[in-house]
Amino acid sequence: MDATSYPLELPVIDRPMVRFMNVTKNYGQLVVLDQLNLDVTQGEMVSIIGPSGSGKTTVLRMLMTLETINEGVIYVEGKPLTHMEKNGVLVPADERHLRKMRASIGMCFQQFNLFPHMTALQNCMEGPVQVLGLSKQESRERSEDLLQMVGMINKKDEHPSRLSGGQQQRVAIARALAMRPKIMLFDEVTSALDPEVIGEVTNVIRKLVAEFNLTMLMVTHQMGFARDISDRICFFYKGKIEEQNAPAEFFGNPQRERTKQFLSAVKDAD
Amino acid sequence: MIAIGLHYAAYLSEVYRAGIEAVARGQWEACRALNMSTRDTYFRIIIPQALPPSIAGMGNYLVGIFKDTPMLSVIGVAELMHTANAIGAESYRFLEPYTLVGLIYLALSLPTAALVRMFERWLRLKLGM
Repeated sequence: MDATSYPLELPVIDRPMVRFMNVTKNYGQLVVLDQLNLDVTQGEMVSIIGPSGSGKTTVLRMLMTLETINEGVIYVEGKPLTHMEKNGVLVPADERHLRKMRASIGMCFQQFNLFPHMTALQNCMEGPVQVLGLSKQESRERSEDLLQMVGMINKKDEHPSRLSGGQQQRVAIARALAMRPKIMLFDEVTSALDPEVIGEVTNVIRKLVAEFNLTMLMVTHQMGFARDISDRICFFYKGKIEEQNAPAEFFGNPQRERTKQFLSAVKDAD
Repeated sequence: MIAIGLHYAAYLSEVYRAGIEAVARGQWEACRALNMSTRDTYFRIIIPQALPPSIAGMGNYLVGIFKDTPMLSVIGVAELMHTANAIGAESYRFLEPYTLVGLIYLALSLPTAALVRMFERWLRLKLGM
């Protein structure tokens, strides 16, 4: 299907927060995502799990527009994200369109990616001041509130190099939320952490997602966490959604052979 | 002056490029995720991080520039080495003026190198890196 044949906008009655429509991503011969169709409704929490190389991180990276897509269209709040309207048809989005659309999306990374030359507070204030145009005062208040919520207020003047992994990730979460996104993407945010600090990060996510009424997509290897927090689990295998279901069903009664294999392999590893 | 400037500008651009490329890819991605403009990404995030590692390279070239000034004698500028040559030619004694020139270069280069190192350390401290 050519990009021109996709709707310019989704009808109001059928407007999920995020819709992936036949999204394909490939690097040359290698197909990372194959005709992905996925809807995420407002306020829904979706966990994406699967073996490495199954395309799960790519889903988040495409939604954050860190990767381009080869086919299909992604819609956010009914409007095309990866494309824009030109003369009545959809064409690939330019940077201006992307900047407008990206405003509703925030992301946290496996490697935190805090700005090393700024303190925790400056990291949180940077976006609101430079991008949203907030005054320093407003931005500081907002950032301090968030640092308070993630339990990092007493370290607000430290540089990232002086913080532990769990502390850095909590600052990164506060930094992302300072932009007031509607959709939050968490890309293996606990994978680079020591086991004993994973809890401090997952607890913060739990608390904040409830507080801010966010729509969330999360790639994780923490099965227990995914089970607790999610409304839906999507199991990716070879660039496709192999199985998706509510957590209780998904973990309690997996249908597909691949899912069973994966879950038992993960259980063995624990 | 312009000749040396242009000559070193070419080399220095490489130092800057290496410094910018050394900034982790995740930093660019974090800027995108925060929806920052390209301009802010460069001036507020990338360049401040690219600077400290570039200082050493820049310092090398700064010292190099001193030592390359004799090249200018080719186009008729009477710099230090040229003058020493002239003195030698007149008095038939090359050892003394050349040694002196060497010492002068050393006296200029060593403190410069030390200053550059201090500046680098100061910058890293200031940027908290």
